[in-house]
Amino acid sequence: MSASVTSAEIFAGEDHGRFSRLFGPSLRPYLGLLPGIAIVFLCVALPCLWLLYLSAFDDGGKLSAINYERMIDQVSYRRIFAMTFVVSLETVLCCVILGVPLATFISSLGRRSAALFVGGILFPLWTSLLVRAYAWLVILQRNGLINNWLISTGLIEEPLPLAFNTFATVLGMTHIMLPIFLLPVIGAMRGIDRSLIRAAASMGASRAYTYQKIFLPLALPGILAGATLVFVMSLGFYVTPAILGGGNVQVVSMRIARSLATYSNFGAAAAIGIVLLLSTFALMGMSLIVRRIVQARQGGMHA
Amino acid sequence: MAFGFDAARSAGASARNSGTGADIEISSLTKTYGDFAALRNVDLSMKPGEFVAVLGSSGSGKSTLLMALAGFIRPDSGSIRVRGKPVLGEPANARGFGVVFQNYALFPHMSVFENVAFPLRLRKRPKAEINERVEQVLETVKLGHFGAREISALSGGQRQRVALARAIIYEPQVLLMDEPLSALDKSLREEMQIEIRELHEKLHITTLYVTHDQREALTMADRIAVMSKGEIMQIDTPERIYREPSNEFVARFLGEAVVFARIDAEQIFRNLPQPVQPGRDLVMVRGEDFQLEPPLDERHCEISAITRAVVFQGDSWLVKLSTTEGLPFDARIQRADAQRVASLSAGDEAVLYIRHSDVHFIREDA
Repeated sequence: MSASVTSAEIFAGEDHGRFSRLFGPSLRPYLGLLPGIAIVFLCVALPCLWLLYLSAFDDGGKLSAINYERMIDQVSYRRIFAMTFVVSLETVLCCVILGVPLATFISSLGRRSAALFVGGILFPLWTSLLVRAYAWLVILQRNGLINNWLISTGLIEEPLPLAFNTFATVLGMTHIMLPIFLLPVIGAMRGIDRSLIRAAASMGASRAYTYQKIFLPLALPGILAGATLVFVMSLGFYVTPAILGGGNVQVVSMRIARSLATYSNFGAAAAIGIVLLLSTFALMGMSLIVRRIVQARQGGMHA
Repeated sequence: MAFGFDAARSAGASARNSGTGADIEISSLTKTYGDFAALRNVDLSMKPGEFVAVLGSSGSGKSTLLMALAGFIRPDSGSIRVRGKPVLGEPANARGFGVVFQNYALFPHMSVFENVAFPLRLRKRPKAEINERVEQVLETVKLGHFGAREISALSGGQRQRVALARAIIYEPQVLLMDEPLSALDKSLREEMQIEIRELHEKLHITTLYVTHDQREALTMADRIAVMSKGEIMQIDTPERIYREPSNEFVARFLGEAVVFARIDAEQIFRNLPQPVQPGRDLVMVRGEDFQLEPPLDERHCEISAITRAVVFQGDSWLVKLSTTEGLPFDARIQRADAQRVASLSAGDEAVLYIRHSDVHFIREDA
């Protein structure tokens, strides 16, 4: 009896040993990732696969490639995709043009004033997208603030077409995306060792030369991160183009909404989503390759 | 500076830099941060090609002095002249000094070659010349085949060499080094001290070298300026500053010093010599100048003391003592006295001898 208990204990001990070898010291630190991985799988991967599945059926529920064929056949789809990418790229461009000098300025400030500025940048994020879009409408529309003022000063007679176009859309989107662009850029710039700037100056470099050759290249990872973030988020914008575009700016998200709300065609909506996803991946991949090539060329310049 | 560059280029490689060092005249330089005086009326003049080490503890103002010279700090008052020309009005990038920073400040996004080529590229030198000069300078700092390496792939000592190469490639008249070796381990540091010294002898760039390491200053410098609380306490050759410190601070900062007030010393020492100069109220003896055997050939004085501890430290013995009056002091006994020190143990009375030439009269601190 006592002998069998002992053997059972030994067995249990062995079992425990085997378990700890499998999930032991090497794996245990990663166990904490499981909830995160589960959430990503449930909320990102699974819906994507579900979309892919949905997109493979036509209206009648039969397996077909009709949803994808439609996108190739109809010119309007191509126009919508092109418009989406153009608006997103213009937003990125505006964010870079406005954001890089602003981030440079803020990163050069002392800790306290920098915190004040960052707070000021984050403040608009607390107001709703809808409110900000309509605020721009108040400013830009035919009898809005700008047109009224320009007419009252006699500079123009007819109101300028400021709202309901790509310009207004990009303006509104830049307003929303700029803080999101600025944060990684300011982070990268504040991380640059000031003694590098001093070193460049000591060797005779002007401020402009140092900015171009030292500061910007070192801030580039942050700028690229910010630009990528802005681009990807811009691709899915719905409210701002809908309000400030006034029907003149058709983006992918609006076509998806119409497929669902007007036609209840889940297959068509899913297919558009999949194509948007894939073309985004393709674009990011291309930008990655370009970056690699540029880096390789920089590195091998003297070889 | 442009002249220096062109003249050096046309000259032969061996004579490349001789005579390019500039003379520097710093007078009554003052810089305060609120209540804190980082520099107080600092005067310092350097001859062309001279190597001056500025020695001090942290907060002594030594780095502030270097940064003011480099142009990164604007002093409140005073003047700096290089080759007779005032430079305080010029921004850092117009001064044309080489600067080596404590953390190396190498550009992480550039290769070794590009880091060293940077000063030439911004001067828009022709490509062939850049390639040739960079190879040459990398050879000089013993990094001949490291051009293609990334900075992140270098050790601390190699990074230091790259920083040095980058600072000398445009042949500056003045080289400023801010604790360049403090991040290296001891043996590498000692190796680099000799290398930098040899490089200086070859290039003759007027060099200001900031350090907190007294041995480093003694090893490398033509003259040492000891700084404390924003003031230069003494500036002199390594030997004179060690042998004849002008005050107690300098005496204690460099080496092991035993300092007594002269009033006490006259009781403690038998046969104490008289000071040559008036106003020197302290008596200073270097720890290693105590000996247990009376010197036969020279005039000397004696001190009787109680041994508190004897510590063997490899090349010498540290003997902790106190005078019969109870004042503690440390003597460093050399190998020559090995037999006598071996017979010494705690509680014993010991008689120590000091040559008159090793007894120094110094001033009290201001």
